[in-house]
Parts: sequence; structure tokens; C-alpha cells
Amino acid sequence: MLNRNNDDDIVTISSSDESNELISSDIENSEDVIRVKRLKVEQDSEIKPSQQWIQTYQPNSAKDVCINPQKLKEVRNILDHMINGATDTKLLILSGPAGCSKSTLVKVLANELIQRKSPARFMFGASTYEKGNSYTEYSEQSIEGTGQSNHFSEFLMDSKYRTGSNLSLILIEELPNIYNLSTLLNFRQSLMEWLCTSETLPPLVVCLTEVELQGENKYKDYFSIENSLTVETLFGKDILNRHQVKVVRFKPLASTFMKKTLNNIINRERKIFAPIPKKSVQEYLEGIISTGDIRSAICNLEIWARQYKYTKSTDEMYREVRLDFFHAIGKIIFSSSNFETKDTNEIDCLSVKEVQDHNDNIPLISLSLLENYPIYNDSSYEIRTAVNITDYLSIGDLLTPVDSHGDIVLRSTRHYLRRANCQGKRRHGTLKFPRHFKAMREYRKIESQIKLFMQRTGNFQLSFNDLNLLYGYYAPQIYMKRFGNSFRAKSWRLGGSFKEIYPETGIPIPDEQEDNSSLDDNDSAFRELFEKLSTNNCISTSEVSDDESSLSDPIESEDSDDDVFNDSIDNSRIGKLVAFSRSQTHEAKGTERGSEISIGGKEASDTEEDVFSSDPELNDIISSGRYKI
Amino acid sequence: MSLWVDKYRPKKLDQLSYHNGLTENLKALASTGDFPHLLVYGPPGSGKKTRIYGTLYELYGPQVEKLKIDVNTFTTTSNRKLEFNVLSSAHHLEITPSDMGNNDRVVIQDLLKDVASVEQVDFSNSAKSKSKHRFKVVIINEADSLSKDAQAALRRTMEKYSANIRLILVSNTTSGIIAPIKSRTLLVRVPAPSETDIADILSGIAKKEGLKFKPDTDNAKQELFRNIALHSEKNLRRTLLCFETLSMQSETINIDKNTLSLVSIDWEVIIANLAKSIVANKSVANIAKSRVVLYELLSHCIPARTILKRLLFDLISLNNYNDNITQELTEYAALFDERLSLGQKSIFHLEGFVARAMLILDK
Repeated sequence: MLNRNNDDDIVTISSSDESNELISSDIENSEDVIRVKRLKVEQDSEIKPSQQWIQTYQPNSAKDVCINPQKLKEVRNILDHMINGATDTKLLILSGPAGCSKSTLVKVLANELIQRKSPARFMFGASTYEKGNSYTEYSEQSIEGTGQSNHFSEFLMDSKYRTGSNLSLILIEELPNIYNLSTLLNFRQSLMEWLCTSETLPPLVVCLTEVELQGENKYKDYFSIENSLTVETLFGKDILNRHQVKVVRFKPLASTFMKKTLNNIINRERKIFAPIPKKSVQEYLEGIISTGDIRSAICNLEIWARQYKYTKSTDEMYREVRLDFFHAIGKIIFSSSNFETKDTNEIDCLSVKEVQDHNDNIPLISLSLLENYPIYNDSSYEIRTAVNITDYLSIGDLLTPVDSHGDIVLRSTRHYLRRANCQGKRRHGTLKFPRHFKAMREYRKIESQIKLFMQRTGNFQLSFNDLNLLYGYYAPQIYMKRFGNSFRAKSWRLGGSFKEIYPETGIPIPDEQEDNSSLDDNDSAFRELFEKLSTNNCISTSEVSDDESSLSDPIESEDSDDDVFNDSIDNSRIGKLVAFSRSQTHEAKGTERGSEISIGGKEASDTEEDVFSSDPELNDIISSGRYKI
Repeated sequence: MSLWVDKYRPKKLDQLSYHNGLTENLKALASTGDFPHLLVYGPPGSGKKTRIYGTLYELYGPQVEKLKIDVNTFTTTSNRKLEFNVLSSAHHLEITPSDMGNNDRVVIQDLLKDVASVEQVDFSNSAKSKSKHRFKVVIINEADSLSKDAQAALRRTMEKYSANIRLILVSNTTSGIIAPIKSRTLLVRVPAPSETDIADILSGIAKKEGLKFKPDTDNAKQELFRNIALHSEKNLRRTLLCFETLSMQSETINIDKNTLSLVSIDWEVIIANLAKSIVANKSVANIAKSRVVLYELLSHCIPARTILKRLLFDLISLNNYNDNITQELTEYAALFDERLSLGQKSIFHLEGFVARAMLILDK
């Protein structure tokens, strides 16, 4: 008897002998026939399933899903409210590593909840409403004939009407092309529109498997979507901060739930497992369970069980356990908990090795160790320990070009923290992400502003440090006093006032637009100053520029010796500026000189921004790291 | 609307007011029409650049004041675009190698080769023109921040193109400059002006700007000027900025000691507070807290070595110049100073020093 599953085109064959006759007589598709024959030759008569376990044992009800019951309850509550309109949550985001039952859970819950809400629909035409219809999935191919960029927004538009009797959960698992800034912004825009719609909407769920790509993306932007696809990089701050959005984060599955599900399968596949000794089954289970990935675990278990009689091996074929970023730092600061039975020296040694095996990004780890060593026992230990740790971190920094400097940094930190003399109960702070990059970003912003100031005021002869350290503080004060009350900004300093920089507990959220659009008081004061400076000199500007346009070489009026008029020196300054803007733009129109200067300045500032957004050192550090909370 | 610092900057050697012996020497040097490569060094705000430009004025006349800025781009081997400013007149150009980062050797070599390959042409063929100088002057600012690599390359260039180029290196100390360069240049030391020099300059400016003082006696004024000079560490640039800020605060400057408050620069105040907190609270938690301040300063482009130096001095003075503490602190400050220049991320070394300082003070 042949059983064709419409959805998946997977052929299931029952084990009776009659089936073969049926197949040969019934089916015209010759390929199928050949495949079945081969199967018959190769396999014993007892088992001939060709549906994989992953499909066979797909859970049909929420209680069968391999997941922490609390997570199940959480998601069920949210979805229930969304379906019944009891909340203004319009978008649910499920994120987590691969194979932690995210989408399975949503699908199962969608069936359960939507069936419960309108059971009539399912009773009435059970044949037309198959279980697949309680959710609608987005796929790139689902709408034909529209441009790629509109794909997603049109899908959402269509989905809006799947309410009422036609209710369906909208599931987005497959993302449109988000590796291009404009399509990414389109994607966000569509979601934003969805969130701002006031009508009742069907529940929208996005399942996101967070990935970090490594290697080739070294020179890409810091934490851009290209080297790490996370909830933050995909949705951006604007969407995540809205109250209609709920994010549920999944962790790799805990071993107890995995074990339960896998044992269940082993029970039901007793025939296959019968010849395998119990002990090696258990050993193998231990291994695959540690991945926390149920899908890969079931696949591996199936392959291993089927091949056992040929190979008899318990070799590990499962995917490697990942050690995420904060986990690795924790292992150094607090030592690994995997080796509790061994003596302390060995634990330290193994912890360091474990981190080194999984992380080759020592500069980032060093920064994180510096950021995090004080959280050990809430900083209540001797200063000497801190002195030793910082001393070795400092030496580690000197040795960065040497390959083995990771040894020095990791081992010394672990060593001294092990020996830290802690009084009282041990209480630790929370791990933080190093704020170095935040500071660097700030640094570049300020640097570019100072350089802009240098260009605008023509202080080219001054060194950068003089400008920052001395002029940066005094000059704005002097200018402000000179312009008196007409100056709106109260007090400011070149590059902005000093800001304290604190670390963040999570991975920083990158923001594509932030750097260009943020206008604080300082920027406006800065702008105002240039307005004042240019209006005060507007007459002399036009004079100079008239001279300029008639001559090919920039020439200044030479009246700088007698300081009768305050403006005389500014004349020469403006000459410099004009020369500067000309060397950048090469199109000079006498009347528009003022605006041209600002264009020249602007260009310079733009290039500055570019420099700052791609910092190779930082990207080096980032791209080889792994980030997960 | 220029600041007094720029407004009262002397343009010619004749207008310089202090270090008269040095000025005479420079005049003599310029009058010969030719001069060797120079290495001008001295503390910040002592008038190095002013003297150099005065000398150039002596040599070439007012033409050197017609400055223009070019933004040169340079593509490095790793395909990164590098932009740096070149300030130039018909007779000289001026570069700051710190713009160029690690590529300073290649950039400077390229630039100098370009300059040297074009022979100086003098169009002004009047009798006055000193057609003798067929060389172009290249001023290199912050020469001590040049990498060793670049300095080694520079010494070859100096010999090779000495017919067409004269180099003037400007730096704060000679310690960062390799011996071969020191031996190929004429060393010109420009010491910081004395308090009296500064007081003279300030009273000259006060007269020109028509400032009013209360009490308007010469003694009181002299005292005020000296105070400002000391407060600004005899850095003339800083003194003038400070003086102008002070004069802006009120119509008449009140010299009364009790009410007079000289403005301290914000970043110095922050470092002073950091030093106070180090002395007051010596614990691991406070090390972590001081990291906030260190990042605050670093992110505001304050050079790490300036922070270290300032912090050391503040710590020493807070401990009343105790010999043992001073010695030990200085020893470690020197160690971390070296590490700052060898290492890559300054925060490690600054925090290392803070931790070490706490340990020393804890004894």
C-alpha cells in the first residue's frame, strides 16, 4: 500500500509483501519503482520506512513538543491573547539557536488555539481546512510576478485579512533578502506599518534563528546584520522598542527535555535499537543531548541507530557544542563547572583550554576580562589581585602580535582570581560586554568634530591636541561671550561635554541611522557658532571671493599687519577657507561662496563618518567572536 | 573675530619679544639665504612655530603667509583610503604625520619625493629676490610621533634631496627622535617663556585691548599676570586663551585674590578628581569605577600619555610630595608610559597604573 503525503512528497511504504506487487502494478512513475526495488534488495524485510524520524515523530500537540514547560506556557499565553485580541501585542518574535523547537511550537500552538477559537470551522468542512491552514507561512516564492522588494510588504497586506472566520496565524520563518540595506529597511518599514495599523490583525510571529557568520566578513561593519543575524540587527531599535512587540528568547534545549523526547523515540523504535547495547545507546545520547539541538539530535540518532550494525561505532558525528561569548568569559572569571571533580589546578587548566579551543578572538576576550574581573565576588578582594591581573592584561596587550599571548592573558587572570582571598559569601556581579567599542565610537565622533572645527575656523597650524585640550575648552567660551546674548546654546565644549561611558550587559544594538541623525545640544551650538562667524564676516567674504573668481590662484588681501580692524585677519582666514573649499570642489561661483564652504566642510565630515564606520581593528576583533546571551 | 592667540601672534622675527638671543641667531641664519635642516624643540606654547614662520618670512617675504590647504589622499596597501592635510605656500609645506597612522613612512617618502623632484622656480625676478634659495621648506609637526621606520627613511631622504629640500622638524622633546636625524639637523631649543616674559606680553595686550583692572596698580597687575602664567604652566598659547576667557567674564578684571578664579580646564579637573578618588578609596570596586573616568577621557581624544602624566603629578601632590611614594609612583608611571607607546589599547595600561597606584598608596 502506498501512502503519499501531499505536503512533503515523501513515500511511505508499509512492510507487507503485497505492497510490492501493488507498486509494480499501480505506479507508472518508474523512478519510484526502482527505488523501492533497491530498498528491497538492500534491506531486511523487517524495516522499510523511508520517512525520517524527524517527520514521523513530529509532535501533534503542545505537550509533545520538546521544550521547557514554562516557555511553552509563556508562548501559549502570548499567542492565546494575540488570537483572542486580548492584548495589543501585534508581533511576536521568537529567537534562539537552531533546533530549539521554535517553529514547531508555534505551528502546534496555532493549530490548537485557532481550532479552539472557531471549532465550527473545523467541524464543518474538515476536509478543506486541513491543519496547515491555521497558519500561513511567508515564502519568497509565494507571490509570483512582483518585484522582490515588494514581496514581503504585499504578503503582509494580503495577510491582514486573515481574520475572523478566516483566522490564521502569520508565520515568518523565511526572511526576505535582508542583506541589502534598502531591502532591510523595506522589511522594517512593512513591519512598522503592520504595527501601526489600528484594525484587528491576525497574530504575526517571526521565528528567527540567530546566526553569526564568521571568516569572510572580517571587514564588514561592526555587528552589522551581515556578520551576525540577531534580533537586534534584524529589527533595529525602533521596532524592538514598541510596546506591540514581544520577544521571547529560546536557549538551547535542556538535557532533561531532550532526553525525554529521545527516549520516547527509542521506545517506539525498539526494533532498531534492540541489537544495540543499552550502554552505548546511553553514551551516544549523552553526546547528542549536549548540543541542545533537538532536530540534529534526532537525525543523528536515526542515522547512528540504522548504521550501528555495520559500523558498531560510537563515534561522534553530531554537531559541535558551541561556546558563546559570555559563556567563555564566565569560564575564565569563575572557572568552568564541567570539571568539578578534579583538583583546582586542573580545573583552571581545562577551563582555559576549553575557552581557547572555541574562541580565537583573544583581543576581545582580553577586553572583556578587563571589563569583568571586578565582578568576581562583587569586587571584594585584595587590590594586589587586581594589580596582578591588570599587569598581565597590560603585558598581554604588548604581546598581541605573538600567537601565544592568549595563554598569558587567560591563564594569569584565572590564576589570580583562583587565589583571590575572598571574605564572606561569594556573590558575583553580572557579566558585561566591553565598552571599548562604545568609547571608540565616541572617540571618532569627537575627532571628526574637532577636525571639522579646524577646517571651518582655519586653524590649520594648530596641532590636534592643542585644539582639543586647550582651544576645545577656551575658544567656545570666548566666542560665546563675544556674541553675547544672541547665542542660544548655554555652554558647550568642542566635541561635546565629557560623557561617562558605561558598559552594557547585553550585546550592543547596532544602529544604522543613529550616527548621522542624532543632534544634541553640542551640535546645534557648533552650527550656531559657524553661522555667527560667517554672518559677521559676510561682507569681506564676498569681496575676497570676487577677487578669487577672476584669478586662477588664491590670493589674499595683504592687510594683516595693522590690526585696526578686527576683521582683517579673518579676511585671510576666509581666503584660506576659500582656497580649501576650492581645492575640494573646483566649482566656484562668487555669490554662493558661503554655502560652498559649508559643503566643503560637510564633505569632509562625511568622509570622517565613513572612516569611523569601518574600523578594521574592531572588525577583526568582532568577526572572530561569537555573541550570544 | 580671531582670538587673541591668533591676533597677537608675531608675523616677523622683529616682533618677537623674548629669547632675543635665539631670535638673533635665527635672523642671522635667514640672512645667509641658506640654512641646514632644523630640529626645533621645546615645550608646548613656547613659540616654536611662530619662530619658524618668522624665519620663513625673513627668507621669502609675505608670500609664505598665503597658505592653502590641500587634502591629499593616499591608498594604502590594504586598500584603505587615507586622508591628510597638507598646508602649503609657494615656498613651503607643512605636514602632520599623526594623521597618517602606521603608514607615515610611505606617505612621507612619496610626498618628499614629489616635492624634491620639482625644482623650485622663482618667478619674481626683481633685484630684490633672493634667488639663491632654490629649495622648498618642509615642516614636519610632531616629529617625535613619527615611527622609527619613518625616521629611518627620513634620514636617507635628507641626504638624497638636500639640494631641493630643507626639513624643519618640530617636536616637544628630542627623546623620540633617532640619533641619525639629530646628527643631521641643527638643533634649536625654544624654552618656555619665563613668567616675566609672559607678564610683559599680557600687559602689552591689556593695554591694546583697553582692559580695565581693579585695583589698577602695576604691582597688582604684574602679580595677576604671573598667576595666570603659572596656572597655565608657562604655556603661552594657554596663557593667552586663559587670559582672554578671564577678561570676557566681566568688564573690569577684579584682581582681588579671594574672588579671582582662574578657569581650570575641564579635563584637568576630571583627572584631579580621579586622583582624589584613588587616594580616598583604595579598593577593587573603585578601580572598576575609575575605568568609567578613563574611558570618558580617552573617548574625548585626550592622549593616554597626557592622562598618565597628569594623574601622576596630581597623585604626587596629593601625597604632599612624600619621597618614597613619589619615587615608587614615578617608577611605575614610567613603566606604564613605555607600555603605552608599545601597546595598542591604552585602557589596559592606564588601568594597570591606577591599580598599581592604589597598591602603593595602600601601604
